[in-house]
Amino acid sequence: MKTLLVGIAPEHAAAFVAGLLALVIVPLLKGGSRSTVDRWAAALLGYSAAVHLFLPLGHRDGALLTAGMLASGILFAALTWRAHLGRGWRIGTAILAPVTVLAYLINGEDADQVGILTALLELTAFGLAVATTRRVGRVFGAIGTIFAVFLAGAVIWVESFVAHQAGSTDAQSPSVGHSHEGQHEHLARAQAGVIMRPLTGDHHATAEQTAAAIALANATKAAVARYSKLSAALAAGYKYPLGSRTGMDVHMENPEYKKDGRAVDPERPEMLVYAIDGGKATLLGVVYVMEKAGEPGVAPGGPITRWHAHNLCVSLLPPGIGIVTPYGGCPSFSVTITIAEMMHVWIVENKDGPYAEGLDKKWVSDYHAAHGIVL
Amino acid sequence: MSSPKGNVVFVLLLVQAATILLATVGELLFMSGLFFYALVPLARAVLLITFGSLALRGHRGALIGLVVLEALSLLGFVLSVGVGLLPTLDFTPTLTGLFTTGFLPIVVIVYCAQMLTRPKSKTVGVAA
Repeated sequence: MKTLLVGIAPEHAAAFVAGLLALVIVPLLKGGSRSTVDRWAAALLGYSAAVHLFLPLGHRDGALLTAGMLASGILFAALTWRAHLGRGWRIGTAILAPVTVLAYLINGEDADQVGILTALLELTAFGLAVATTRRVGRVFGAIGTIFAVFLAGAVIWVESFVAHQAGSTDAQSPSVGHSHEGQHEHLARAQAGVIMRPLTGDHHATAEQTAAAIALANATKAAVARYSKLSAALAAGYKYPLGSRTGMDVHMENPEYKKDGRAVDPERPEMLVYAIDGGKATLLGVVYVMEKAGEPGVAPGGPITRWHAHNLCVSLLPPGIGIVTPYGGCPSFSVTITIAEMMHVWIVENKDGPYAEGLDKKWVSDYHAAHGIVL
Repeated sequence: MSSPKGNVVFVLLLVQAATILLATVGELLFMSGLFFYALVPLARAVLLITFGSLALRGHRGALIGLVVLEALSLLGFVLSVGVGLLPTLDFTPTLTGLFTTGFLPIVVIVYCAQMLTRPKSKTVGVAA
């Protein structure tokens, strides 16, 4: 339940509640069309109308964006009424729903689960408008609906990963990896492959937190220097991952250290990350992993030492791993899991610092070519 | 002629097919692009759309097929919650996940069951 609420940005809560109320109330309105399609359309459009009309309550946006939200809400409300009556709602919906989603994506509005759900419901209303009538052509309408849902999800997905990987430009911190201050905070709430606890306090580390983060990075670098040679890591019990044993981010896991009851112990990091290619290996850093899933990571550096978990798809036909989409979905015959929280600490000097979520592959490739140790 | 409930089911299946295709891309990226990982999800998406098209005309076999497919979706959801109870794993419920893997399959099952249990003359009604 707690993680469900994490997906809802506080400034979107009022709009979401209003949308849910509209979903319940609109189908109960008397004197409307008895067509199931019209009633569904009215409910979905009513949800969107309520969400857009109530968004300005939580948002502190400029006048233009606020006016846009209200105008969109009024137009959705008008379409809701027409769908309720069963009169001419399709063309308006076929235009307004995708345009609203497009504006939402182009505007760079960072998605939380409320935003993603709203986009999905608007595109479902779009599907009802274009794929249930022969006038537009059911086949084209069906293709358009699939394309729109797929594309919107793909864009939101890419945006959330790009933001997650983005290095911080915060000069006060020795690399946050992602401060998520302001706009980027929502992307911690997209819950599409990456699960993060949103920052609740100050987004900038205190002097003590910064010192603790630097101390942990230095201790980690000193402790794992003994694993510079891959053979030393293998001898200490680190195992290759399933699948490829080469690449620019090969995560070697130590099963014993994963269940030793210690968290953030530089002497016993749960994973080592190597670049392995061309008969050479370069130790890039470590990954600290919590023992139990759902347990919050220890963060001595406050907002600098942020942890994340991954929600993954484990498919059975054939056995494989994927990432949960912004729509919360997995491929067929899969179960959804969330693994324990983890935090990278890089020991190689890079532009994003020791706590960056990831390293640029081109940069790693060049670094590996220059510093790799022969296996 | 198509039934109004069949139309709603059809659109929900289009949305579901799109979400499956998107998830398939995610798995392909993770599994080095091995195409055979796409075969089952693609087959499922095609089945959903085919059954959805047939369900528009009240085709009983398609309606039964959809009930089975959506029951499997719900089973996956229940299994995910169950697996999340293990100490080393967790289950993260999301709003969109509840819609696409919980609410949507339930609506499709209920509508298909209603279309199956109604006399054919009522199932095939006025176009929406």
